[in-house]
Amino acid sequence: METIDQPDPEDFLKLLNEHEEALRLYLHTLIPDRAEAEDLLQATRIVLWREFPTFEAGTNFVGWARRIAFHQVLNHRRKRERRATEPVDPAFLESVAEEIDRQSHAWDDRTEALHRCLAKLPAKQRRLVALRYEEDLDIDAIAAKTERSDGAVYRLLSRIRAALHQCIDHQLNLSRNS
Amino acid sequence: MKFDEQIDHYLEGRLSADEALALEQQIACDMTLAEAYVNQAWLHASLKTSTALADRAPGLSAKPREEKHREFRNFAFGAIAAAFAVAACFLLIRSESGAVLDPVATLEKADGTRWAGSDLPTVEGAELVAGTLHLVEGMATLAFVNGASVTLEAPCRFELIDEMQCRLHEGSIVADVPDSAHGFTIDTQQLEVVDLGTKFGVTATPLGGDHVFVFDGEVEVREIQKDSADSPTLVTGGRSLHFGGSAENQAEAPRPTNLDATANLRGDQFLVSTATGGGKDTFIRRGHQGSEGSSPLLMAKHTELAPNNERRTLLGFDLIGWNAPEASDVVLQLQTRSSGLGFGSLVPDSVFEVFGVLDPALDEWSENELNWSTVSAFSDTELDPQQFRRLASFTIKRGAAHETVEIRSEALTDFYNTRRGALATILIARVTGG
Repeated sequence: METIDQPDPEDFLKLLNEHEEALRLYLHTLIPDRAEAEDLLQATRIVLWREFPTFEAGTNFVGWARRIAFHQVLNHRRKRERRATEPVDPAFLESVAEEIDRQSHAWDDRTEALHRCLAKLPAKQRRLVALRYEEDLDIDAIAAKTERSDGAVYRLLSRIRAALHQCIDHQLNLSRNS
Repeated sequence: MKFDEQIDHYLEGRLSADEALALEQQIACDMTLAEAYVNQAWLHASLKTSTALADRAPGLSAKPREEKHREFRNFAFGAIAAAFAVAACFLLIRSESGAVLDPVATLEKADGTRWAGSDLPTVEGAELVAGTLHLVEGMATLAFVNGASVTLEAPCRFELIDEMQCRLHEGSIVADVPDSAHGFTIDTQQLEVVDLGTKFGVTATPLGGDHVFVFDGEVEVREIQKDSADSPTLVTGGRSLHFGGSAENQAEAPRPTNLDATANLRGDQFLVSTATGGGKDTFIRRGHQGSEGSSPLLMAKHTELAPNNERRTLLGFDLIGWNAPEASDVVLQLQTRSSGLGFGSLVPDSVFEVFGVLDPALDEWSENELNWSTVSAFSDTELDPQQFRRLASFTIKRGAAHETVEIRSEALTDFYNTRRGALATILIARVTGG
């Protein structure tokens, strides 16, 4: 009778290292709340290690990890629903997850384009983006820091994001045609 | 507020709970909205997780770009054309919103099969969650996540409960179970068959006779009705166990009915494919006199460069033979494969339009007789709005090789609801030339 070998932690860590950024991006796309997404990433890492014996070496690790992550999201939301007042729609999460599966083959290219576009932002706008996304300040805090109303800060960030979208699309068109 | 603005507000947490919920519900029902949403959500997520915010010379990226996502296959064909090949089509009908479950097995081989209305997809390669399969013709093999493999022989009604448990309602299966899936169990109505590392077969008949054959290894068989204190029977290689019914009854097991809708109800979600009941599918090609018959790969293509290559796909769904419920949401699910007929990378995104056939007389087409000239209504450049209703359109991105396309719209749901109890024909044609 064969015995099943225990998986090598090094194999797991190698795969996790290689794909963790992709998994993090997946969760943050699925869950707008930064803290919640990070919590779920942590929970998912644990389950990935626990379930690693069922992962077939050589198969699609990201796909496997995403399914586990999505499961964690649903579980987490179900638990939260019992305490919180705001209702949560699982059909919405499924739609988003499905759409991510559909779109994400293009994400590597988009990310590269995003890097180029960020480099093109004027300094003041880059600073705003850094305050919001790198330092993780919420809009009220940024408003206080930059002496603007929070409405104004929001609108500015909104315009910056729209500009980034346009720039990314443009970059992708350029590389397609070259 | 326009949707893009709403989505932006949502992602920044600036919508009220009610507004947020309303937006979520809209996104859940609309593929175009979902696309826009994920597009924006991706940007927010990228900005949060990106290492690019630190000052860095443009052009330097943190990781080398992987080429694997972009595969431009080179073909020997010179024609520039866009096509998608549809490997299978399903109408996914929801009367309330369905839930997502874990895949339990993959449908590995399914040649020459015919299925009755099932709550699981029945195309080769499909991932199966818990649910019931009803095989009317042919043989199909399921590959379980735990390594076990189960082959169904028609006629067969087989329920997947979870990774380690299944129920054979009727018919015959052969299970091949490796050591890693010890304990894999198949129930019949009367028996519980637990694998101990084997290859075994189980036959269940509605008249109550069950048979367990062990080809290799051992299984433990327990009567479900009896006390669990009773020790189970061990059946070893080369032996079989027969339980209940009589030999004659087994020989006369009646064929299961074709569309056993009640047995296949999984609460609120149904799948109808063009292989269900009187369903049919084919495509018609301009300039081609013969019919394409029931080809496993359907194609829809439109190109101004080579007018002879225009193709349209026809799907017929049989909504007659079962109690089709009123739907709140209908999804047309197409699984595409690259047809390998041209340089997909040189062609822009392909837009296809989906039409519902209104005129019942047009539902009577046959896979084996239909071609471009047989039914002129199908081949008109401009489809007659009296006979066709535009239900939706969808885009296949250039270079897309293999994906599932889901088409949803209110018009599609309405069309389904009005065609219940009859045949429903859908025509798919490509819009942009190239």
